[in-house]
Amino acid sequence: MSWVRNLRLLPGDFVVAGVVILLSGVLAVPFLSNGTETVYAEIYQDEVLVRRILLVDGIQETVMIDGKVTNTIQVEGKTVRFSASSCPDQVCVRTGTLTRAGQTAVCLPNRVIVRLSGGETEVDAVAGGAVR
Amino acid sequence: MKKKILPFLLLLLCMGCGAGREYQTAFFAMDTYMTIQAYGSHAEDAAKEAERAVFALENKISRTRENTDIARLNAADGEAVQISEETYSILSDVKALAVPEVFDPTIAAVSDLWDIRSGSGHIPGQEEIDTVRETVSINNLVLLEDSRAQLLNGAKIDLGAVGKGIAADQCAEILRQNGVESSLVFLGGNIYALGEKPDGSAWSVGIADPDNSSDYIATIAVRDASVVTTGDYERYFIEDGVRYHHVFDPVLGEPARSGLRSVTVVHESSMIADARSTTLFVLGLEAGLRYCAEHQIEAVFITEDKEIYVTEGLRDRFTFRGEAAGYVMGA
Amino acid sequence: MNGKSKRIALCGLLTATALVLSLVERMFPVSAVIPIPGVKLGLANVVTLFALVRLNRRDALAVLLVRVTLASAFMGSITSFLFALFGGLLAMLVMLLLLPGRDRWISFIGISAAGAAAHNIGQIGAAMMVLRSVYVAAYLPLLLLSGLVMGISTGIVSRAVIEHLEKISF
Repeated sequence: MSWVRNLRLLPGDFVVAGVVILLSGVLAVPFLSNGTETVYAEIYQDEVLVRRILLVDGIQETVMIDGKVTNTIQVEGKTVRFSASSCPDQVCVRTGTLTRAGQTAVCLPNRVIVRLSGGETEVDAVAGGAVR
Repeated sequence: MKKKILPFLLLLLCMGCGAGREYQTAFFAMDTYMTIQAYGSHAEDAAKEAERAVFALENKISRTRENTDIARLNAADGEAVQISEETYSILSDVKALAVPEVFDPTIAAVSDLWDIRSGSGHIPGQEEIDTVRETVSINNLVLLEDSRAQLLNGAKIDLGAVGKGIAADQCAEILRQNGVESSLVFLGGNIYALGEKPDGSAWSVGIADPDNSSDYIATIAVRDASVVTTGDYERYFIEDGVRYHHVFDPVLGEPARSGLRSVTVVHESSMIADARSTTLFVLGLEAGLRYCAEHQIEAVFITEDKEIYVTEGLRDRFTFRGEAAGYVMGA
Repeated sequence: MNGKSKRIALCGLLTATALVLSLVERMFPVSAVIPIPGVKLGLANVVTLFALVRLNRRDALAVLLVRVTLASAFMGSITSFLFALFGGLLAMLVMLLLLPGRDRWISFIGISAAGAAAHNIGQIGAAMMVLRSVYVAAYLPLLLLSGLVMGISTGIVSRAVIEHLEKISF
């Protein structure tokens, strides 16, 4: 199989690379412009985005965030919540399940913010919605 | 497809011009999470200046940080203390806002006893409660000449019920001075909606569901107004099925039990909205509604029975959204 | 060895190699970046390519099916089996179509890259069916690009492997 050893690139190689790159670009377009249906769970720690998860039906994902305390964040379908936290006040766990874009839950001791972004939001902010 | 791409292109176009410029800053201050979202060509500078102002204010009025005006005043053991002009002016505002036996910022000794913030709170003995509630009286706060203040009879000040309101007012003022006409200031659930949204519509502010505070049970359309909620669901512990939360009845020296889950006040001053949401929470529904009528306060009450009451002036801006969560509109 | 037993031995060897590659693959948790359970890089595609070259189509398909089944039995679930199966089959199909052009207008690395990209498309297709959601496709651009890079690098690496297999006179 001498052809295997041949490292010389042929036109077809560039066609393959071109087609793949083009295809990924084209496929990305509807998801860039379509703001109404794609919702992401964004997890920030110390104001830095540490995880961004596209929420689709059927997804199950558990994210552990370590810091001063440990947060367990549970992604389930199109919802996300703090399922457990080793902090004393448990404010983040009590915040409940985020289901609509624009909602936020915060763990202050760990400086962790979970937000549902994207989609269309009815409210710009929720009064009394984060911890005092 | 075309329909979906068009707004995206328009957005790209908008990014080019100054009017549509958006800036958002997020930070932790005053023991909570804050964001300032501002639009316009001066958005970034203004929002950053507002953020700095919040930290500066915290360094004056926090009672848990060391060496703030309030910490020094609380630690002075009855002696007169020299404080900054700003803190002095805040204290005179607060004195005017106090409502005897209902809303009293000299409540700090009571909050310290219950220690609800730490998460390890417990029910104190009645004797201990009796001792600390004696110290609560706004008359124990004496404002002297030359920016000096004094706390009598063991009283201690806690500006927790107005601090974020004052901060929000300062943010709004700074943003306005910098020419920002559209901004949303979110200071840990305490909201100031400056102007209107860049598209010309009113800001839509949700009212948190006390049972699931990331969700909302209603929305209010606001322009140039602050929306502040006081609820029993933010910091609390439960013992023997009773919820002990962080809003205290100054007379009883224990968490207020007025039959309400939360009160939301809409007012152009965030300090007043903040103070009055606490006041109304302690008063309860009936006395609270009377207070609103007498003092031109607009508010939304959520009762323990999941009933929602809205004052007259808010009704046309109010949209009920709590059906699914089991809430009903009160008569 | 006669031709038949040699062929069977080669099938077994390739299946084993592919299984080891599936294990190696677990050291690179793609699912940390793309949270769809069962999504993989597709290192084992190299084996499919080799099988297509050295064996006939039927044997290559057998190696693929045995590999996918065993890998899922050892360390996967029903969903990851479906993802691997769809990815593997589509990769095989694409490489099969490109093979006649080898050395004339496409190189080994090009075929490997095309196979890897096809593998990712197959996986996402399966995910769209299993999860009943088209939004999984939002991950496809990212997966395609990473598949391209992976396909090229595995192509380069596997050249060495194939040369060695040549030397031991298989």
